[in-house]
Amino acid sequence: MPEATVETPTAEALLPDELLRAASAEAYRMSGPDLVQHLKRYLGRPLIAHVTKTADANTVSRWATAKASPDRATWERLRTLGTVHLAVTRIVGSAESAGQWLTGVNPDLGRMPADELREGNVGNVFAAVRLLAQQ
Amino acid sequence: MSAVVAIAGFWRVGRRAGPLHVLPDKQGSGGFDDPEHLVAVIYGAPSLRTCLLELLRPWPAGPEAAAILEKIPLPAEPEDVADAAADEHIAAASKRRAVPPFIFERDAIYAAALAGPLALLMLTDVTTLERLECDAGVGREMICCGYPQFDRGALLAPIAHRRLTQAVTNAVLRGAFSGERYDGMSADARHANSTLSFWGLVTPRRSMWCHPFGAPS
Repeated sequence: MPEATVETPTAEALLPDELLRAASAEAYRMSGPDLVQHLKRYLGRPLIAHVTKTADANTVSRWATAKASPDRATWERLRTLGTVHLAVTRIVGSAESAGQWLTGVNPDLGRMPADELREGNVGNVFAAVRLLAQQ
Repeated sequence: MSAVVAIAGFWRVGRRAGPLHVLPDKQGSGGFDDPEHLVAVIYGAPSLRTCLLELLRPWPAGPEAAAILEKIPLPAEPEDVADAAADEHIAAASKRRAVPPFIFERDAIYAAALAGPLALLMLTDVTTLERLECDAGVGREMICCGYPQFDRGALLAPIAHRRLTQAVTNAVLRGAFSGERYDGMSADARHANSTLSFWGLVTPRRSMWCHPFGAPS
């Protein structure tokens, strides 16, 4: 799978909060299906289903093609997942590595960021992203 | 005086652009960074292995990662076939994940030399821990973190307790140990079944220089 081209490559020029704000704006600018397409490409449907507590990962494919639409809370979780993925992509310069960051045992969290997002601990994950940006 | 370890050099993984160039106002993510952002803390270790393990901490797959990523459902519609294949690719890539490319581009391994030996406060020493426990800032963070007493376990806790370890730096610089002029701290980090030492140096970087690993010194 080809790597994403990162148009705004380095996080060095941005403060961590600016980085997260820019990533959030980008995630909210995307249409719902486009956002799911992006996440599906780099994270895979099983991880998206895990974070959104969706039983059948095939449902993610329906979201991506707009054949089905998740409820509002799930959309919010997808936007948050998108924000985190886009922010980490800007920090590390690789969408694939950013996806793997979500399933690594994070020393700042003591667990996988994906699990924190699943539990709704968004603030903790944003804090971990800020720390990654500072390293 | 508390127990000290004298060092004559150290390993470091640093920015290619300036391996010892650390600005205190840009710090804050390191376990022993100065919470006041006034003194730059440079991290190193007696062994290269420690440096690499610390650098790569966030990247190895979590124990449940494979189970999550491999939970690929059987296709229910034709469009799911391609998606399932992509999912398998991602799951396989996660299993053989390597060092993220940006680290190679950004960082390199350096062997650092010092103008003279440095004296580091050993944070593993019982006397040191007892004195730290009496420091007002450390005591305050202990309460916040829910530690009834200050021991090695508190320093080995997840970096979620960074405020506690940074309070230790504050104690060394301007608290309980401020009159004793240490060049830094020697602490432990746990990696799998190993406990490895690493160093946080608060001494001015003009007293040290470094060259890339493998290059003639």
